[in-house]
This record gives sequence, structure tokens and C-alpha cells, in this order.
Amino acid sequence: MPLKEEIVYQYDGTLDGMLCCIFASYEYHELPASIFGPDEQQTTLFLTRLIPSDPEKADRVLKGLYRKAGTEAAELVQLCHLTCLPDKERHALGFVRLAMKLGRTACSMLTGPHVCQINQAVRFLQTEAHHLCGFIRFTEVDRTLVSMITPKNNVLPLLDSHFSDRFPEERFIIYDRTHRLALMHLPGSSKIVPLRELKLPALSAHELDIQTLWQRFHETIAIEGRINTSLQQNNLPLRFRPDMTEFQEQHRPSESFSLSSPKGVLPQ
Amino acid sequence: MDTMEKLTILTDAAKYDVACTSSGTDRAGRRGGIGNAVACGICHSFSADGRCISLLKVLMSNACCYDCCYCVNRRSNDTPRATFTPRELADLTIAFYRRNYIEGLFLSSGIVRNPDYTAELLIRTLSLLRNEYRFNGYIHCKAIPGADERLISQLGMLADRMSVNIELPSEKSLGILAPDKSREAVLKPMAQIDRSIIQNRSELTLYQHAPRFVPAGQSTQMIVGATPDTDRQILRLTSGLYKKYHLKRVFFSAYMPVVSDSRLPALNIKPPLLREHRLYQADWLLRFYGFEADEILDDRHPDFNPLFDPKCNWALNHPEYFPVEINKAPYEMLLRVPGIGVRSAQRIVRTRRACAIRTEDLRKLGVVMKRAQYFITVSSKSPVTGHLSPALLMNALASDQGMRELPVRGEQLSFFDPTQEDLSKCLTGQL
Repeated sequence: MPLKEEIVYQYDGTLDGMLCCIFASYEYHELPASIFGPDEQQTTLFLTRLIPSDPEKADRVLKGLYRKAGTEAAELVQLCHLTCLPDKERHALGFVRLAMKLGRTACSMLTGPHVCQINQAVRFLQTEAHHLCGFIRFTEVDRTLVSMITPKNNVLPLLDSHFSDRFPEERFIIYDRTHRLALMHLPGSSKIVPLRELKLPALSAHELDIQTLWQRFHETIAIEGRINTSLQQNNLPLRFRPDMTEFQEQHRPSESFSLSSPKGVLPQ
Repeated sequence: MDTMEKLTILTDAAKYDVACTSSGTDRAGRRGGIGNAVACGICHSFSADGRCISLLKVLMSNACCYDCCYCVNRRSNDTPRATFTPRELADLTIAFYRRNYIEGLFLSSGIVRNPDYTAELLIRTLSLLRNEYRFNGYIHCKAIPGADERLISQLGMLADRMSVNIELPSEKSLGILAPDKSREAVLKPMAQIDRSIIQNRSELTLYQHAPRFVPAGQSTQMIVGATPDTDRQILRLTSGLYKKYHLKRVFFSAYMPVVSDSRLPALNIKPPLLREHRLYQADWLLRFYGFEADEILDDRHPDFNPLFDPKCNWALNHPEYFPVEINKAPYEMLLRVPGIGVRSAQRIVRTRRACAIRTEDLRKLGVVMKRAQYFITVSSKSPVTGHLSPALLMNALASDQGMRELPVRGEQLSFFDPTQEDLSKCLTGQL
């Protein structure tokens, strides 16, 4: 039976929701022309089917995918949901249909439709997350470390495992302005919550001094005879810089700032 | 002297050290501590010279008692001196690490008083970090040549990676430029670290929780362009170091004239950046592409061709291996094709198991067709259309950087600026 294509889906934007769209596509024998998120305005002549999120159905899709096409395929679909690939839901659907038919082989068809786009998008997501593992800058406010980022992909779930492992005893917040989400970590637990806005209070003198130290280090470590700003820009794209301490305006260091308590004795 | 001033002096003195990688150790964080380490390493920033900043790279002290003539910190050089206290440096490292500025610490030092005293200063700093702050992040530490073996092995228990700088590619060059260092003094700690790593590995197979000695292995670096050694000598030395001492990395640094001395090249020479770049490319071929040093450079070609990267150069000199059939060739042969890297070769092998690869797919797999097209066939058909002369081929493959640096402009007067086409005619002997 040919699949009905004159229909569009709308879902709530969550991973479960996306998986439910895939479920619905099988349930109703449909291949939707578009799948819209909750906020997307749609102008279409086709009928819209609202897809409610149902964890049970979502779970069935994932389990089926694990069984039929293996871990890699199931993980690819979950990662795909975090990417900024346009029309990612339709690519995910196309990929799942392919994987259910071909099994494990589907993941190897790196040049095929859907597989190619999803793989590229997931690679971009992972590269961006890896970049941010390095480029994120925390500012200490009230014994809490706060960081703001402006990523293209929804990287917070990937950053969570890295930073929670790295700073188990810290209280920290990473705020994603693009998706208006915040990763909150307390010793022993972390969660991602929606957050409209995050504003920083004025910084303490100590904090400003440390920022200035870092800016000075960053400036001094460059070798004058090898200055190569285009190489720098290749490695560290401009879009990350507004959120990075070393590219922000310099504060004036306070008089004779010393970091340590005078416990250490200077060897002469 | 306040922290800001010390940091400035000791960073400035450390910046010529090349290695800033934080790779080689995978270590999960621990409750009650701070930090972890990731095998692939993480770059935290890039300085204006385009180099990665991953570690807080500073000297413990630049008050050195040696007088190596290429070094800014030599005794006879008039420069401000500073020394961190172990506590101060540990505090600074933690303050930077918590804010995610850095991946860890890269600690080196001039020789204060004597090698043992210097090594003890480093040990005090590292044990503060590891034991008091329970710091689990990455630490790269220089082995101090001439320090007692016990001190070196103590340092190795605290650091992730250690390095001993070989400084110059030959004994002769070392004798001229660094009279206080002998080749033995450099190789002795390197051999000691290597033995300890091997011994530690067998302990680890017996006791899973045995303390780990230099888990990320050791590295070294040498200066290129200060002495008349050829690229071939450097590359053979590099390959020897990988084989004999199991080094993880060998770093090269283009000689940067910072002090004037009759034994050194003049102050106004440009650092040989392209040569350094070619050496790194060749180093990659040794480590990941299955090349031998003698394949890359031989008696007839003791130096790199500035126009072509070493892999391209090899391919042009060995037409008997080409073309390579994308759908059939073994992985090792795919790796030898210019424009195909490790990742794209892996993708090709994987994809062709599922379905035949077509020419238009190659770009999607990450192959750089601009270079690869001349060396491959796809299902027995070459992607290149039309007639291909050697001149055209050379022209298409020559690197822009190499072209720019050809000693044509400026050094000799010419009525015409040679065009790119002329250059490649020169190369093929048509002009």
C-alpha cells in the first residue's frame, strides 16, 4: 500500500515527541510532507495531524530500532534530535524507515539519502560540543560558576556528562541562550531546565583580577614573530568569542594583586 | 613582585616551548576532587599566533644557571627574573581550571641553583595540586636533565606526560649551541622514563590499582633551522625516537631568533615556518599513515620540497602505485592517496561494504577531490576528464604556501613577475 503524503505533523519538540511522529507514520501509513515543532508557523494546504508525546510509544520505536538495526542506529536518531539540521524530523523518519528495512547496513550507507545528512549534522553537533568543552568560560558569582553560550546545536546534554564529571563538587550553571535552556549542577546531581533569561550581577574584585590574569596570559603566550590571525580564526571561529573572557574588554588590575596567602616562601 | 608580574615574566619565558597538547590520558573525575582528563585532549583557546592553548604553560622559574646560547633564559641574557612559589602556582592553576580556562598545567623551569633543587620545586607544586587540591586534570612536566633518578620518578608519578627536550637534531649542533648539555644528559632521563613506563605497564597488569607512571607517555621537541642539519636527518631521528623510546610525540619548533650570537643565524632571518609545517606533515605520515622515514626523504632528496606536501611528493615520485581503485584497494593503499586522510579512508572502507561508491559520493565521504582525482579510479574509471600533462598536474597540486615562499620575488630582479604557470614549467623543465 503506498504511503499517504498529503499530510503534515505537528509535535511538541521533544525527543519523545519526535519518536512518536515516527510511530504515527507507521501507525497511519503516512509519510508526512513536513513535521513541525510547536512554535513553527505553518502555511500548508495539507491536513495537520497533532502528535501528542507518549513515552511508551517513543520507547517502542527506540527498542524496535535497537533490535533491528543496533545501538549505533538508535543513538544516531537520538543525537539527530539535538542537531540544528533543517527538517531533522523528516530525516530521522527517513533514516528509521531505511534502518528498519535494511538493518545494520543502513548506518554504513554514508553516502545515501538521510544517512549522509544525519551523519554530517551529528558530526557538527559533536564538534560543536567538543569545541565548547574547551571554549566555555565560567565566571564565579556567589560561589557558583556561571557560563553563557550561544551554540547552534542543542549541546547541553552532551556538555552535562563532561562538566559534571570534571567539576563534581562545584555548583555551576551553563546557560544556552539560543535554546533558552540552563544546565544546573549541584554536587551529586544535575538537570537541564528551560530558562527565559539569565543576568549576571556585578563581579567581585577578586573575580575581575583572575579574569585579568587570564587575559594577560593569553596575550603573553603568543609569539610575535609568528602572529597569524587567520590561523587563529580557523581554529577559533569568531562566533564563540563574545562569550570568552580573553576576548572581552580588559579590566584594570587592582594594585599589587597576589593570589596566595603568604604561606609560600619565595625561594631565592 | 605580584602575581600579575610573575605570570607575565614566566609565561613570556615559556612561550617558545611547543608542546601544548593535553592528550593521551583518559581519567574520570572523582567525588571530592576536581578535574578529569580526556584522551583526545581539549583546546581551550588559541593565541594570536594561531597555536592552541590547552595548558597553563609557565616556567617555575627563569633564573637559570645555564648559558645555552639559543635560549632567552640563559644566564648571560639581561632579562627580568622571577620564580613562583609552589603554593602560588598551585592556586593559580586551580583558579584557572575552575573557570575552564585551561585543561591543566604545563610546567617547565630554568635550572635554579642545581637540577635537584629545581626538580624538588616542581615536585612540591605538583604534590600540592594532586594531594591537597585533589586535582585530577592534566599535568605535563619537563624532566629536569641532570636531576637525580629518584626525583625524576617522583615527578613521573605526579604527571601525566613528561618530556625531555632534545633541543637540536645532532650531537654536533648541540656541542656548538648548548655546551652545557650533552646528548647523554638528554637521552639518559628519556631512557629512564621509557624503562619506568614499561615496568609500570607490567605492574598494572598484575595490580589494577597500581599507581600510574606518566600515563600519557613522553614527548620531546627540537629546534629546526638553527643548525645546518637536513630534513632527512631530522626525520630519521624522529622515527628513531618513536621506535627506540616509544615517544608519543616529537615536536618541532622553527628557530625564532631572539638572541644574537655569532654561533647562531642572524637576528633578521625569518623563522622557517613552512619547513616546520612540512616536518609535522611528515611526522603525521610516520605515525598514522604507515610511512617509513626513508620513503619520505632519501639520499637524492635530503630536504622537503617546499611546493608539495610530503605525501603528494611521494605520490608524484611513485607513479607505479597509482591509480588506486577506490572500490577495491586495501585500506593501507587508500591512505597513500593525496587528498584521502585517515577518516575518509575509514569511511570509504565502511561504505563500500554496504554499496558501491560512485565518483560523486567521494566528496560526501570527506575526500579532497582537488588532489585525489589524479590518483584514483572509481569502478575502473578516472574522475579526470581531458588530457593531463605533467605540467598541469604539478600546477594543480602545488601548495599555495609553497608558491608564495619560492625565492623569486625580492631576491632577484626580474622584468616579469613569474606566473604560476611559469613556475610549474620550471619544475617540469619546459622553460
